[in-house]
Amino acid sequence: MYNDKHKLKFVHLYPEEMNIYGDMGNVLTLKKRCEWRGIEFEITNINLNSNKFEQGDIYFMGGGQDNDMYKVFEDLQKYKNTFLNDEIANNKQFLLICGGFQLFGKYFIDFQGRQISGLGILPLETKAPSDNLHDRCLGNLVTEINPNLIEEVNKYYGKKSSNYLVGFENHGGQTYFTDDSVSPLGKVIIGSGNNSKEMIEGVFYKNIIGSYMHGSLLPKNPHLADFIIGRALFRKYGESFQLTTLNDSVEWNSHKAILNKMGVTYNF
Amino acid sequence: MEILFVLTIWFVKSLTLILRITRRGRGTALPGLIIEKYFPKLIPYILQKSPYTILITGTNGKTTTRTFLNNILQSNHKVLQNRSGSNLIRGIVSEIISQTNIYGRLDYQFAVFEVEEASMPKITKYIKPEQIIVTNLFRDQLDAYGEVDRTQRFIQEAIDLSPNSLIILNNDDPRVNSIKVVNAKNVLYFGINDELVNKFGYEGIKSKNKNDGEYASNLRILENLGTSFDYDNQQFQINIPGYFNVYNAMASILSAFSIGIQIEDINHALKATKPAFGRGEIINLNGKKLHIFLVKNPAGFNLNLDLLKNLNNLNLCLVLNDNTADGKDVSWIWDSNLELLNDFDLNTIFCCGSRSEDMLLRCKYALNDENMESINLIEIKEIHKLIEKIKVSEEKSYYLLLTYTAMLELRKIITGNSLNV
Repeated sequence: MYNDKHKLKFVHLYPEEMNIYGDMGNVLTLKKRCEWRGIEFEITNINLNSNKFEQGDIYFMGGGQDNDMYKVFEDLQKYKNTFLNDEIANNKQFLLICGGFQLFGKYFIDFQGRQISGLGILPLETKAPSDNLHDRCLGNLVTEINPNLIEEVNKYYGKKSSNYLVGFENHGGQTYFTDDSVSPLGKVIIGSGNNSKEMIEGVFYKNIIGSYMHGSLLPKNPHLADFIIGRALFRKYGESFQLTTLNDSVEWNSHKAILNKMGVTYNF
Repeated sequence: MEILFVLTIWFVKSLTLILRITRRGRGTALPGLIIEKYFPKLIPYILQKSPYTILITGTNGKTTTRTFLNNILQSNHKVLQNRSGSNLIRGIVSEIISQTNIYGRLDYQFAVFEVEEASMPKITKYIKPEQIIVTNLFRDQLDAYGEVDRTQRFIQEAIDLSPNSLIILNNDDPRVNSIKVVNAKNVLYFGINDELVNKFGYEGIKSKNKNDGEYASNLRILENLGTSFDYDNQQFQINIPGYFNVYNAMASILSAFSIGIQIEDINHALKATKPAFGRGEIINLNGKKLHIFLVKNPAGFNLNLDLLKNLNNLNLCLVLNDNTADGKDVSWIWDSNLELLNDFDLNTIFCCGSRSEDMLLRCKYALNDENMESINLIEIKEIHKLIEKIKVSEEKSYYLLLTYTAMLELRKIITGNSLNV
């Protein structure tokens, strides 16, 4: 079904700074799931202070500590803004976790009131009420995938699977959408999500997926991993193909373990 | 105040006894809990009773450093120390109360306490320690501690509150050696002068001008996984598995030497120190050796794995729980370098614990296709079932890497008591 020409280039944004909470699991999952199917997967990095980069098919940015985020904020504005905007216009896939998700929004205000402007690509704003651990959104997180997305998720995964996403959240920032042009990635079943009020989690906008979910996100949610891989392949090769089915029993067991633990019923 | 203190001691001791006899309360922190609940105003007064005090903090190595120091000091002195699970204010208050006699006297020359990082500012508000040792600062249970930057601030705050203390810092860890000490006379740095340092994955920007420090060199890993090293024209040997313990030994050497203990006595005590609770200790089970290693963060996981890489026909048990004391967030296993396992001579990997599914998944993504075929990768959720399996197996030795509550559970099943071997 695939031949040598099928290849995805994965671009890791700021792997040195934006890499807390096990987000490497997302990189590994995309890589392995491509390689198991004979799709070549090349990883390149975009680091601080660089202003020359090659285009990729999937872009990824993870979460970082506050101080590292300031450095990255500045660098993004200075060197990467135009490039990333162009790539989004080119319909490239983006996966942004936690700090990465916040940085693509309009601005972020930390607990000391320092305001940092983001790339402004996503219409959202984030405020951290305090440095207190009690004010963090912290714990296991279960969401129901946005119904507008579920059909496409099933299509790329190859069959109907879970309607849920499972993971763990740990963030001080509370994120709100500033207009209606974006939709959430999911509805919160267990946990907080974007903020402690609205019971929505993450964002889906053009080809950008933003989420507060760690755990890592993709290993325990293979349907979402294949959704990203499938969309990237479709954009690049335009063929209407199905991804080879993998044996995901270990993946689904860990997915179901969280649903069971949190008392969420399921039928898949 | 003194009479009030003595009365409180009597009261707390009696109440603790009653609660324990009636089985309504247990644990070593019980006296501390009672004080926190009924007499919180006495906490400063109790803490001030502490004698010559050495506080040990940092992500990894607190317990082993405390064990080394205790062993060095106890041959000629009475040493008060806390247990590894009791490293919050409550645990230290408990320890002081339990050891205070009915006349209100605490008959000890030294106190060696390991302190959880976030509790450092609270404790140094009341105890003016003679020494503070900072072992290292890694990412650790981000759900409990928040970011490492935050932890670093706590330790800085504690050191600012202790202007007269001797501060002993890891010079190889950029996060630790950048801690500011106002009085330069009051600080000592330790480190390792060996290429093994590169294995540690210290974070932060390496400072170009390292502070002058005391360095261990010429590290050699021994057959029992202990390490020998040279320092100050002497050869030292530690028999606790793990070359990372050379840091803990160096911190203990500097600490004890500055008190005036002879270097020969220090050397002897280090050599005789047996592994603390879950730090490479060996438990015998039906003629099989169980090597027990506590893991709680990626840095520790990686170093413990690296230690096992040359063993033959390894039987490995990875036990991951997600209780509060383990960290409810298990994301950290994805930051740990389980890919190292591909170069091991592995027979079996058992994945266990309340999050055995996550550990199994991590192994699936770590192992290459060839190893996935050849290694027995087995999930056994319950720890007691793992122990049954080990009991009846033909294998002679097992290496277990466990999170904190998994280790307590294992010990309780094997010995009937979670704290003592």
